[in-house]
Amino acid sequence: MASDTGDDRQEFALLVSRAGLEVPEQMLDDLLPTYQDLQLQLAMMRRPRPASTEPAHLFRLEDGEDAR
Amino acid sequence: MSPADVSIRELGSALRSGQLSSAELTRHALERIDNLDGGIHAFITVTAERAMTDARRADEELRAGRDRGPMHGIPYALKDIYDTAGILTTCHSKLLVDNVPDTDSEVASRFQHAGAVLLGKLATNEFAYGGPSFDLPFPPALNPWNTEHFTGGSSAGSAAAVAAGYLRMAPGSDTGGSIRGPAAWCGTVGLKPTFGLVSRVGVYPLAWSLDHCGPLARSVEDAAIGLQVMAGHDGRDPSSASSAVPDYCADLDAGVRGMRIGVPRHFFEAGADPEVLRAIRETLEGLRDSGAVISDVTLPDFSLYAACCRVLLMGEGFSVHRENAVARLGDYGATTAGRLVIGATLSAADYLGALRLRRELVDATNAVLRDYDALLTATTLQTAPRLDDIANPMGTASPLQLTPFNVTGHPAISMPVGLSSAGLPLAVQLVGRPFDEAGLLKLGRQVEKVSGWLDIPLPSLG
Repeated sequence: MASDTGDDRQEFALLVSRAGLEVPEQMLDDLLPTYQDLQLQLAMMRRPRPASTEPAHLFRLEDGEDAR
Repeated sequence: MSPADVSIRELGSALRSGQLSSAELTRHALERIDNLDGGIHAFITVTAERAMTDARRADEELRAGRDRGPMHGIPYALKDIYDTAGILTTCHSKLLVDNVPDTDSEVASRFQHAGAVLLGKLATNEFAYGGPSFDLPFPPALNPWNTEHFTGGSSAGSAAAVAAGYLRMAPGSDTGGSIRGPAAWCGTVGLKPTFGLVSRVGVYPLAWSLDHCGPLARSVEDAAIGLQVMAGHDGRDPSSASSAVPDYCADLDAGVRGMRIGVPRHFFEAGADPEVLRAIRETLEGLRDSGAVISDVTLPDFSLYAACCRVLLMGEGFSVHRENAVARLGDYGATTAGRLVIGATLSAADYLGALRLRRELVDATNAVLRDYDALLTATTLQTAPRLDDIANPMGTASPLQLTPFNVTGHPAISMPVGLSSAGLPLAVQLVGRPFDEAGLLKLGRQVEKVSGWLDIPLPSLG
């Protein structure tokens, strides 16, 4: 996460541009607090997690077919 | 007495005995909409001609002995993100303002086969994503209890239409609380079923791993009848479950004696309005007096559920809208556009981190529900806010207590339980084990009885 508002603004604009969006400067300014708020939530979520949390594939079986 | 004060089951009895015709019932509903909806804006499109055709057909079929079940001849309406063949389906957005689908959504098709009468299409937050917004092609729905207050969203028109007495049941959708929030603030029952119970085919997606379809209704029994039509496997929806669909009305009045109910007070006690806390306390006392066993429980921190939901919703939401966001961002309302822009900044690692956190939260929630039949918590921390006093729609501060069960997929129902000193609805939220909608509805029915909610008349509208 960037360390101050100026860095955050630059990082935010870069990520939006990389996504292919053309966003007016005023809109970026208005949305910056929301972007910063999201970074706090992401920081709260980031930590190593066990293999048991890995998203899994699921097989789709046809009607009448069992898993053997 | 207005037909709006009569349950779907009782209306069905009147239709079958010949006391009432579906054409009369439908005409009454259309007149009420015509007279009142200029001040509520629940409807984007009223399909009066189609409704009368449906109603006359329903009457003919009943006279001929063909009975399609409890929704036969009963008026209903759909949130405007449900596709309806040949009928405008806008998602309340400039981007789809002329969109007329060729085919019905699965839910619309099921109600058609059940003989229900489609009154029209209902207002929503744009693409079910954020609001209220005043920069869209249609105005936001207003709260029938006080039109200066927010309905909640995104199933705003569904909740407003039920609360205004236009109809008894209207399907909505719930990705981060969009059935239960407006249900709570408009004083209706709002049921988000278990993830996978109801097909989303033909419903515009917001976030595919969080999207649920379910009914908003005047009463628990009306909601059960609506769910009965909606529930069931659909192989075209990759998340559709193949679990059996029981009779949701069979045990509604069986009572709650011995039922174990857990209360995660840490979710709501610190931030809730005193009137909300009183409503929860009185509901718990009523359930205890009815024989339920009440205990406090601890779930993971609410903020973890909220963060997980936000990342999944914004990441998937941007994925759904990416092409239009790149090409036509200015055609979205400001709130939707802002949320899409924020979603565009998420990394793959953060999205996958949220998926892994979800697994931990599902396991922790299921671990608590191994010892309890249901949870009871707040739906919202306050009554409906004034429209001119809405908190920043882009921020995380929210009075809603809804996202945990979109993350985990557990069934959850918002139950109206009374009115505040300002005359606005108060509600509680009940949460059940996966696919135990029957148990949840039974508990909801008891809450309905102990609260006396159905004795409170609908708001007076002109």
